[in-house]
Amino acid sequence: MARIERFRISHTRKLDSAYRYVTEAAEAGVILNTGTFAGGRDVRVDGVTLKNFGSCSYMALERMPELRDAAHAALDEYGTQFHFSRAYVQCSLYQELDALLEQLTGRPVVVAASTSLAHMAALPVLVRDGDQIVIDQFAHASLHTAVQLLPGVPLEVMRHNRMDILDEFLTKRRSQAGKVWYVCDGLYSMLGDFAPIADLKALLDRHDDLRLYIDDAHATSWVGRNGRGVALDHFEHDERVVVALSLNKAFSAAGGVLALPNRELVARIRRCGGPMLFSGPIQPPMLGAAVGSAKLHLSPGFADLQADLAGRLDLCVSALGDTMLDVTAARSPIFQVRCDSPRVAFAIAEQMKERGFYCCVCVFPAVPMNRPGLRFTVTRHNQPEDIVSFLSALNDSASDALAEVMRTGHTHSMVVEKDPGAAESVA
Amino acid sequence: MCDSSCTNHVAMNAVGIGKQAEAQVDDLMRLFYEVISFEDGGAPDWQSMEGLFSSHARITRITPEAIDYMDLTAFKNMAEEMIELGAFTSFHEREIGRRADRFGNVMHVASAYETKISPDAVDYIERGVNSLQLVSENGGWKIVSLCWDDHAPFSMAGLHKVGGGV
Repeated sequence: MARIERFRISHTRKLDSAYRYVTEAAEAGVILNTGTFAGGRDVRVDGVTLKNFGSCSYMALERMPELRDAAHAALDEYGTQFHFSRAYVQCSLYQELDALLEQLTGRPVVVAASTSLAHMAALPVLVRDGDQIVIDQFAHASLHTAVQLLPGVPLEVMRHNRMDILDEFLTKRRSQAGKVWYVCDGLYSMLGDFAPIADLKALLDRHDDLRLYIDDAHATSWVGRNGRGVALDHFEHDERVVVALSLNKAFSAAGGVLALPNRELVARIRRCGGPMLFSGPIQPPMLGAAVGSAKLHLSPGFADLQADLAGRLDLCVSALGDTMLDVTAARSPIFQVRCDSPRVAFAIAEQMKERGFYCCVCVFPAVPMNRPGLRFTVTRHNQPEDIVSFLSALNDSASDALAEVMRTGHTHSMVVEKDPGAAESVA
Repeated sequence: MCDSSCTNHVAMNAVGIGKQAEAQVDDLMRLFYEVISFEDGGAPDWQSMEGLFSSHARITRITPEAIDYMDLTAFKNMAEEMIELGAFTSFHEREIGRRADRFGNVMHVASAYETKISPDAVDYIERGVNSLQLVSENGGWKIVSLCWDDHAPFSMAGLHKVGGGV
């Protein structure tokens, strides 16, 4: 683990580096695109209709009548905005949403305008003087941002999912006062793997001072009882665990939820969590959509929707076995195909567009420099025949792109200067 | 393109360097890339790396944004922080070209490298040239300066292939 000293690489330099890397990907045309809705199964990206394997709408709820009708009703009643800070007056839809989400999660909840703002509200309240934070190196960027809001709290970054290191750390500091907050994702958004839940449970059993803060945004809705994610299914009754869910992504509305172990914490975060007092509320139409989505999640038929997605995931995992793709994923809607280099990832993405499919590149700084790849998602929008043809196209594109990069990439990047001003290709 | 049969750079340098020094530098450079490389979840072999450097060594890294002037400890701290923050989870670098020039107890080595996600990856992530100055200390060659530009246009000009080259 590394104690973050915050001096080796300056803030400005990090921003400048990020700008350079993002600009390279943007100039390759693989990020910062513009899209229009084309039904979910398809998406129009920069004017071209493509089969959609890049969205986070895992449950394909965004056009279901339960959500649209609720959004329309809220729009009719409140208009587009409820013009109060929640510190003064909150829209009454919040009360309805709170009640539904408490039923859904089995816990007292606080709803925030986004999951990121939920982290920023909760962590400074949860972590007390004398506590320490250990954060997984691949925890979502919003968590890394939120833990920076706690000056004076020792912050350690830990290698991904290395429970042996966490165990050793906890054992070494056993006699010290204060708690250790381990901050992680439930499902990692780029690599598509889960936090080691069973190992975390074992650590909670062994270390009284361990507390967990789990961002389960990407596991919300598609997994768990009533779509409450992977963490709450295992830690619902554990007072030492706080879970954040997303009302965006698969939930198809807006906002974030903190599922808290008791009402005292609800009151503390609601009353002194910065963004709860100083940030704007969720707009009424999206609050209405969240209420509609929560009701759908609590309906008897919701498990069938989850099973429907599970069937498509099984199909994808099975079909991947017929390809040569190097895929790292647990059984989740997020898959990453490892590539030799960003050049290869960009070339595959381009070839997939030409073959009629949209998927995402994932390169540094979104993933480590040695993990460039293609990230694709499987949602209920994806028809079984689309999944099979997508993987076939991806397999072909991966092979073709590598050959193309080897043929042309080296020609452009490898030159030998015989003498100043003269150059020839090595290839 | 120069390769192992090149009679300009290699032969001239070999005469200038001397056979014994040439063998020592071969070993040094092989170890240099071995100790910095590591598998997923691992780390560079810092102890072995320390043995390759003079205790007075300086390491200079140039990026488009800034220049880092470091000693070996500072370099280790920076690299470890980058690893822990997730910039790399593994690292595989190998030498693909070299030119060495000796001036008594001083040697300059231009060492072309490529970084890959794994040793058997077909494409590379980065290519560049490490500029090293070696000094003869207690009968062995040690690195007294290592300097590289992270994003310079790559060129094998004046270098001969090493390890199959590219």
